[in-house]
Amino acid sequence: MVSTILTGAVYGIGGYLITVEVDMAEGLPCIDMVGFLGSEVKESAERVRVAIKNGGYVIPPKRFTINLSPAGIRKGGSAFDLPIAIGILESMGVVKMDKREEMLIAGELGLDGAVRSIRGVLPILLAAKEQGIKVCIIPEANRKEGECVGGIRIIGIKTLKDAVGILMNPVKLQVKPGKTPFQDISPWKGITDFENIIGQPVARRAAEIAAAGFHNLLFTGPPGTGKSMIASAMPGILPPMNEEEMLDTSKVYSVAGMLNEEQYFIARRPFLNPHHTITPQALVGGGGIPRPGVISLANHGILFLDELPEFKRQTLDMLRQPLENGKITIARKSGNYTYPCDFMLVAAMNPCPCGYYPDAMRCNCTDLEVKRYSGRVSGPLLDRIDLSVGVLRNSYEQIKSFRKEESSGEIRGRVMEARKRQRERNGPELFNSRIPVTHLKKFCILKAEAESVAERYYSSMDMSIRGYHRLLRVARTIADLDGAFMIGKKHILEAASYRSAL
Amino acid sequence: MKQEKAGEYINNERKVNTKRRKYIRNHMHTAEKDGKMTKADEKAWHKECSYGYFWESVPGIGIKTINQLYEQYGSYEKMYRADGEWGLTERKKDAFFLQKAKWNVKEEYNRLLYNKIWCIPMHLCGYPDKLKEIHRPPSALFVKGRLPEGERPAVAVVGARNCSPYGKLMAKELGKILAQNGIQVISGLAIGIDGISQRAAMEHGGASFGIMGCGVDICYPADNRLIYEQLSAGRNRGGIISEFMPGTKPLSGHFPLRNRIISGMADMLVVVEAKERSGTFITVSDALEQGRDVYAVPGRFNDPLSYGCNRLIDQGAFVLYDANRFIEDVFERYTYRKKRKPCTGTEKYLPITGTEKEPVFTVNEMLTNCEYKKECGKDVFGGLEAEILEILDIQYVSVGDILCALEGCSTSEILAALSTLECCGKVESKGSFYRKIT
Repeated sequence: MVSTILTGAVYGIGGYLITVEVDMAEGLPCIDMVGFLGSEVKESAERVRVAIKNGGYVIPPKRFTINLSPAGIRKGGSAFDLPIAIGILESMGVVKMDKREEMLIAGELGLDGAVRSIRGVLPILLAAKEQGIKVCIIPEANRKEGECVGGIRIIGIKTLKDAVGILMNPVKLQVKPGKTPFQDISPWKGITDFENIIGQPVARRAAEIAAAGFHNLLFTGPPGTGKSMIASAMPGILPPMNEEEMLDTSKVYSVAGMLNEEQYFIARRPFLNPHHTITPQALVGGGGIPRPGVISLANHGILFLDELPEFKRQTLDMLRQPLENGKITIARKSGNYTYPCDFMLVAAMNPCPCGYYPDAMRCNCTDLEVKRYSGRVSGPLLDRIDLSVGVLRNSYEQIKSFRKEESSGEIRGRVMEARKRQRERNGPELFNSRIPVTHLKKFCILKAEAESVAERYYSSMDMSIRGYHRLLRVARTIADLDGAFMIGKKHILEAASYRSAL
Repeated sequence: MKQEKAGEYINNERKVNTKRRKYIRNHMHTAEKDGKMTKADEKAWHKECSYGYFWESVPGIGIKTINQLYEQYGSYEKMYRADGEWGLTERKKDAFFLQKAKWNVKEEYNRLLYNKIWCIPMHLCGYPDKLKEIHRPPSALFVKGRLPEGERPAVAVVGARNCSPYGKLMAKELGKILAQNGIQVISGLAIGIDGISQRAAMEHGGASFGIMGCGVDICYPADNRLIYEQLSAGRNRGGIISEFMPGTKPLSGHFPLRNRIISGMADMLVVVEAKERSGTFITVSDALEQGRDVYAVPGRFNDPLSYGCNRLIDQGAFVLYDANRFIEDVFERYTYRKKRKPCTGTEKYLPITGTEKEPVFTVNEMLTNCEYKKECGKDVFGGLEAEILEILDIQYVSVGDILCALEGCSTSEILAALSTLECCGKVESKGSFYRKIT
């Protein structure tokens, strides 16, 4: 008799359903597993055997054949332990399942029969919901994460015995398909507030524009002037994520195995600042069955690269394509995996090895050294940075005169207003920085005087077409912050002052 | 078949050799300077040069040893033939024999000439007299192009690499007036003041000489490749000179050494711009030690790049405030050094290109002529832009400072105004620093 159990696995960022088929037959006693399995899946036979034994059941000396279908996709991960165990128990007649096509089982087993947490619950359950699954039996540790899917009954179990108990008593399956409200923490708690950042009017302004239009941003300046501090305060002025964005980002974290009982959902925009020794694989994702990299974990949030020229050039240049597309496709032997990586790049760097250029009082670097230092960041990468701004040492008068600083809340208010205007004009989820070239004419309408300024600027500054489009997008955001429908002269001019200064 | 090829090869070789000989005869003015050198003399001279080149190449044997030996034997060849019979340390002997074993004197020298590089050892004719006077003169000079003429005055122009627009302007003008007066410019071919003055001299038909801190076959810095190629190619333009063997890398230790040649080859040293601590001062102290006058271009008192020059003036350097006087001074110095011929006037030193001396500007005139101040007309711009232009300087000023100075203006307004100015070419930016363009 063949018993079939539905379970799920992750491919890239999406989940798909897998059928576990268990057959018990006469023959030499052993457990055979087939279906293009990774080594951790093959090992699960041993875990399952011991877990069943320690659960108090006796496995009869028969030949078990287990197939994981579809057989064409390579399977990894430890989520198949529990369904295989249930399948064996069912073929032994220990449990009985009705409505098996409406039930999904996933979980890792310990030798003592304990059910342990698994990776990728969120995408698996999303796929299950799509396929019409009604009940999911998953490890208790993943329950909250699973409940975020909503509209599907989730049962968290701690041991194999629990699972058997629940399956034998169908009344227990009738839990409420309730939906956990999204984590109700203040999205801005614990983030540096802008009111603590003294002076730096230009950098603050640039941060505000970047937050409003989701533009990439580069801070250049001497050490100790607050580049990193402003960057770390930036999540505090970004508008909160909507549910779709939250789910999108949480999926990445789920696949990466970074969700747990405490943090079972990503409700605030991620802020990641990898050290400059990061490897290319860690940055963009990699491995035999690729895991999402740091850029994918920063999805819908900020990727902050401090000391930009210290990163390996090869590593930095890997960002070029993801910055354009908002997703990355990693090709490996096991297949092509696509992860989202729609992040805002915030970078900080010194202008020269000593850090003080062009302040002739303090900088002793030669022109060549300066050139070589800034040359470590490739031109094409700089070309994708919309706003470039210098962070300078405050003079004492500045510290004095700017003592009362705006708080993040005030700035956020303006940013949200600008976001609202963008949403009304661009459509639901299109930030200004992501306006496609085809729509630029429609969304970025220039006043006549602005047109002439832009034209003059374009010809006098030897701009590229991409540079010009970037100028328009930034000017659009500035106009949005200003509450203007059309882009005026001053918006274009201000946008122009933020262009790359290297 | 084989024979034919061999014949062809020999023919080619012969052609090359004839060409080379012709080149040598045409280009070797320093050797021909009294015009009396016979063919036999030339041959002997080249032979001596080739042995001089060998002695240069021996690692561990330096200026002092070579001079000592030369005094003893009176010829580089004899020194070589003496085969270590001289009373020197074992280590030096070892070095000599080792080098002798792997160095084919004739072949190496021919290769050198083939690359159009001259090696002029100190004790042979052609070596500049001025250099012989200084402390520790280089034991040989490697030259691409030619050496400065002894018949014309030469002025060394040095200064900061990382110079201000003011320094650039001064270097340019200085190069120009020196060229127009037929004065040779000697400098270090570095980025900044050195290169700019040499380039200006070149553009106005003057001769200039780049003293390198590396082998003459290496163009360092690569930014000045244009000047390097011009100087190393033609006899009129000037030359590239170095005391280091061809192929020597530009190591930082070489540059202070070459500074003594810069000042040594010149009659006078002009410092255009220097910071408080600058390599320029090595050249200055070399020049003073060698008895060369030092001129400084006055700077502005609050400018760190002018600090060095102003301090030099404070310490008694001549002030370059009037171009005519400066030129006169140069010739006076030059004739004083020559002693033999009293100064008869400047007609003798015609510019290299023109037949007549062009009018020379004074520094003040220079300032007005180059539209240094004129350009920044405020009338074109309204309120804020004009105010910003008032604040800006030719030194970089940060946006923060501008904001501070113009209280009540919003950041975005000021950034927009700065963009307007930049768009019109009135200011230039680096990061969030802005400065006026002159």
